[in-house]
Amino acid sequence: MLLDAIVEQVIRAISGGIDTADSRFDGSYIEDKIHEYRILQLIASYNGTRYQAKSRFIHYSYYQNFDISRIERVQDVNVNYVKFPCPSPANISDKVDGLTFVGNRSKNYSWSKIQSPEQVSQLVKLGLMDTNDIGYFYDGQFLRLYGNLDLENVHVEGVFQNPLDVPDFNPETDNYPMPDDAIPMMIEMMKRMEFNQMVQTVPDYIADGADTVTNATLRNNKR
Amino acid sequence: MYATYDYVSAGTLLQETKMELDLLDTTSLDWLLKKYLKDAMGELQSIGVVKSKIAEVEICDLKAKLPCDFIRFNQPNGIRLQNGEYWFYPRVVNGAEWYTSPQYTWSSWAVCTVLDGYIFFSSDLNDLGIAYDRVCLNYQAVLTNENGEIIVPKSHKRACIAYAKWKYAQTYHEKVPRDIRAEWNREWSLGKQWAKAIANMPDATQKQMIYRVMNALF
Repeated sequence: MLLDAIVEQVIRAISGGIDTADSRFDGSYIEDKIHEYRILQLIASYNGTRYQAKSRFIHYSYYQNFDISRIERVQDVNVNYVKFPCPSPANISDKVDGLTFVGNRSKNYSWSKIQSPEQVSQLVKLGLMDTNDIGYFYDGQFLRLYGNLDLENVHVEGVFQNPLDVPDFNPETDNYPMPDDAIPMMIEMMKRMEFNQMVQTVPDYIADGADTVTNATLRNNKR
Repeated sequence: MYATYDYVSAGTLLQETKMELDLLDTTSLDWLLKKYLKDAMGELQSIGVVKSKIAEVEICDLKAKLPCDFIRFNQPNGIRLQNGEYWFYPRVVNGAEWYTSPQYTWSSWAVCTVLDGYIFFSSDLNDLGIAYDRVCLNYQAVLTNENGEIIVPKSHKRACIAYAKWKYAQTYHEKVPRDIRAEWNREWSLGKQWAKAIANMPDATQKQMIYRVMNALF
């Protein structure tokens, strides 16, 4: 399903089918919320909730993949890694993040994830980085690749915080990366956690200076 | 491809361990599991796991980086310092005096110590008049394949994986029930004994000799 169609579904679900002049539910705002709740819905299904058993499975539809080529001007000097720009991955559980495959371009060999800069130091001291193994660490903007300074290309597959940040993703032609059957659950979650309260609150069109209605009256919905 | 050979690589062991632990969505525990597998291989030292190798490395600031597959020096004359046509054998290695041919060692008492993946030389190395900038090592190494990965006999596979799983269970004890942890420990102990027994079994040549002896006897 395309992103626009999901936005439309969400707006209709929360406004009850009534077209209002209320600008709280405009498209770009709802799009941002869909990116957030897509990940929250995945976390709920992967780890389980009070009402849902954990699945420990990331549905294929969530994945996006792309190749990154080396860019010389972003490289740091006198360091033992090479950098590749990468969008921010989702955080799914304590040991699983959105980067499910970082490896060579032929997509048959993945490299090992490094959890923190401190772990690099540990690995060097333990001699685990002396072999031909390549490790990667995501620093918030770039993938740092340790173990081979001559790397030219990296293939990445994973789940990303904002699917629109992924290179070559076109929201007008590409399906939004989540399974269709998870969309109703995501909308329910959005309504429950966010929009119910907003829908129930009456819009305030009167400037505060000219408003004679007290907060107590507002709270009791007695305008 | 491991099924067709008598040896398996550390990479194969890692993937098999991860499959058995159901770690399918992440590589963040790879380093920890690699360390456990490396430890297991270290504990399973037996026939067929090591081989003799020769390597030449550079000396810089009185120290030289040891190859990553290094286990221990072959004796005697496991270390030879070199500078072009000049060379000599140091006499003391890791605190012990090594027997060497006297005519090559009389000029120096250079002391070598192995520590944390490096070999350190005493400062009298600089007093020799010749700048020895390379060292030739004759050592026992772990077996590796063409990609530099450690390989072990297939008979060690079960024990290595059991060790890695047991240690993983100790680290993440909240994820693995106590009886399963104990079971993996038992699997490691049995696998270790089994691997050592297999390693000590006669090879094809030895079997032929035994066969001849038995034939002669009966």
